[in-house]
Amino acid sequence: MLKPREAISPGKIAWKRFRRDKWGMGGLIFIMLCLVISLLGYSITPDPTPNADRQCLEISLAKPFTRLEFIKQEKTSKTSTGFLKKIISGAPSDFIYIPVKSIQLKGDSLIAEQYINYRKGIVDEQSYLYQQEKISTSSMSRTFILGTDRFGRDVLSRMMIGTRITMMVGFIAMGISLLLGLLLGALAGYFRGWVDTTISWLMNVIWSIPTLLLVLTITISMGKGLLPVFVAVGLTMWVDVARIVRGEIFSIREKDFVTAGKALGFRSPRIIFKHIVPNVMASVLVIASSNFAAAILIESGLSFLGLGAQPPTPTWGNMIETHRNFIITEHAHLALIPGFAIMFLVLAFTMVSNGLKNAMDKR
Amino acid sequence: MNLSYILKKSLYGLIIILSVVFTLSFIFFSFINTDGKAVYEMTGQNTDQKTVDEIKKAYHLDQPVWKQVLYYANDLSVISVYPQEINRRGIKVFTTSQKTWMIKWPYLGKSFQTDRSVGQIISNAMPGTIVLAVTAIIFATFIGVLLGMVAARHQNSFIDRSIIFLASGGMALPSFFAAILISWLLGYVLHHITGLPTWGSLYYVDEYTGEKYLSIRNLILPAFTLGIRPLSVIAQLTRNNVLEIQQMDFIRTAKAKGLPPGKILFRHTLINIANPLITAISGWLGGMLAGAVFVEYIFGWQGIGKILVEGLQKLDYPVVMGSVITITCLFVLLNIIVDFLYAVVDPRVRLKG
Repeated sequence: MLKPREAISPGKIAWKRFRRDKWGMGGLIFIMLCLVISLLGYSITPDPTPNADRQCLEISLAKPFTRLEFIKQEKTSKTSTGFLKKIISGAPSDFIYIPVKSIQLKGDSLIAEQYINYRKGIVDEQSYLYQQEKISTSSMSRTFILGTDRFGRDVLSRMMIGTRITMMVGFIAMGISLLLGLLLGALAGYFRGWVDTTISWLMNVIWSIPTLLLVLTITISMGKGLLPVFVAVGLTMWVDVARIVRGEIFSIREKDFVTAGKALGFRSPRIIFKHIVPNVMASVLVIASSNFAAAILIESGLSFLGLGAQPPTPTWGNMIETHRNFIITEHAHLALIPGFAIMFLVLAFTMVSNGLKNAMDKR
Repeated sequence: MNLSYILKKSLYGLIIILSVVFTLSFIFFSFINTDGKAVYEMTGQNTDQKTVDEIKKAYHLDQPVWKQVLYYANDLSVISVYPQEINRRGIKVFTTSQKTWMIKWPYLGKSFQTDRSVGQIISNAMPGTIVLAVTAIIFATFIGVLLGMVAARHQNSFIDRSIIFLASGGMALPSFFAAILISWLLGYVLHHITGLPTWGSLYYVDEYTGEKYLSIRNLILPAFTLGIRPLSVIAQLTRNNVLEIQQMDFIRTAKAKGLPPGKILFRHTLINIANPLITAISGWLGGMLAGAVFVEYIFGWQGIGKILVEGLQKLDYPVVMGSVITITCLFVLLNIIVDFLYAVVDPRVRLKG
């Protein structure tokens, strides 16, 4: 008996092709990794305080892989944070961490050789009445895999929380630009006439303003912060999407299946969104991933100028800005790590975009 | 290329410039004056309400947004209308009972911080930016086309792959990070080999005599940094287009005729990728006027970009707005010129237009 031939959807074919693309898959895996890190957020960072902002000036500028001993002192006021909130925005610590070189117990007091400046090796002997001052009697050790920054904060934790801001800006900006771009592009391409003229004029105006400058104008007038960045990047990048969608719809609307839909008496919205838009999704997906990369670049530039998320919120851009003068010292990694992180993430999105383009090429 | 083509394009460009000016000033004025923050930036926090109101009046900040936009556009326009008593430099055309019509240079307002005219600040900085951007794009074009052709010639070899890889890396490198990296690597770590400074402007001012010297040495690193991204794009573009054109019939014909490879390359291949190349180069030249923001800021290069960043940090709104509008208008003008260039290069455009 003849077996019916299994139908393979174009999406599956494209995926099959995409999987063979080493660079594209590498990029996708890297993006997924960043996504997981940003979703898990505070639950996996070594420093789970809000904004990974546990400052400990005594141990500032420690080298990567530094292992340090701490004694913990309980704070007088305690806060309780729910589990969900802990993951989303972190929990303030109930302890003060005191970096020590060595500790000794003598009767009811604890004598600690306490660091004043770890980098220069300056220590100070302090004795605590450990029961009264609520200090742990044994020390705990922590390893700072990427070292600490100029305020003694854990760089790894800040990088991980920074990933979250980067991904968030990418997603929201991409979402806004896709929504606007699809809608306006589809309207212009489908209705033509004055609708097209108006939308094309708007696209040309926005297109004529260099993206960075338009974003700067919007953020400076709306004030500093993350929201203006989302709005600005989303509002400038829809043009790329709209251009592609408009152009493709120009050719698709002449196809027979659209005429058939019209003959069946379907309304325009149904034809546009059910019959035409699915056909342009392939190219939209390509432009979406390259827009994601562009959004990351712009956001990092804005936070470098101090216009994006404000300190102490860690972003890759403001981490570079804070530490860019350290590049001529032995602590160059403080500026290099976030810089290369931006570069690799942008590269990953470009690779995925290229891979998608090749995989969905109809030729 | 006939006259009506030129006129049509110029008119369209004018419309776009007008729209851009109105869009930008609308965005600007609809947000900044809501809480008088701009005024406090100028005078300090402890200003009494009366002074604030007077300043607001002087800068039209008490007016509705659409009126402020019109005032700004009136200042920018070459032909403008003012109330009769006005001391602004220009040629008075005629005066009615209430209004003065005059022809003048675009007026961009005064800096909140230094009280200098924004137009003057910008025209002082303009040469620096233009020199930087043009040097960078020339560098990027030459090296980019060269790398692209080398890659296409050795398609799928190790050389080709490494050029593609470097080009993708160059595209992904944020320009501010590139500037930091390059000034560190070439200006600091390898300073004994390159002998290049990490910091400096086109002119070097002698501290004792106050004389200005041209300092080309300072130009090299910023121009190189600024050129990285366009270089990557141009290299990839050249490679892909050369590969595509090499498969065309007319190249085979040229080969069959026994033309020397050099002639085929220049007369048949390169001329055919000129069009996409011009698009890329002009697009990037505009993008670079903006990208220069970071590069100028980090290399301390005196230009519009540096002025813009300083304006941003001091919340000096007239300076920010003036530089944004100037750069954007330059960008639009450039695109109009490029449209004419297409017509010169490509007979299809010329004959159709």
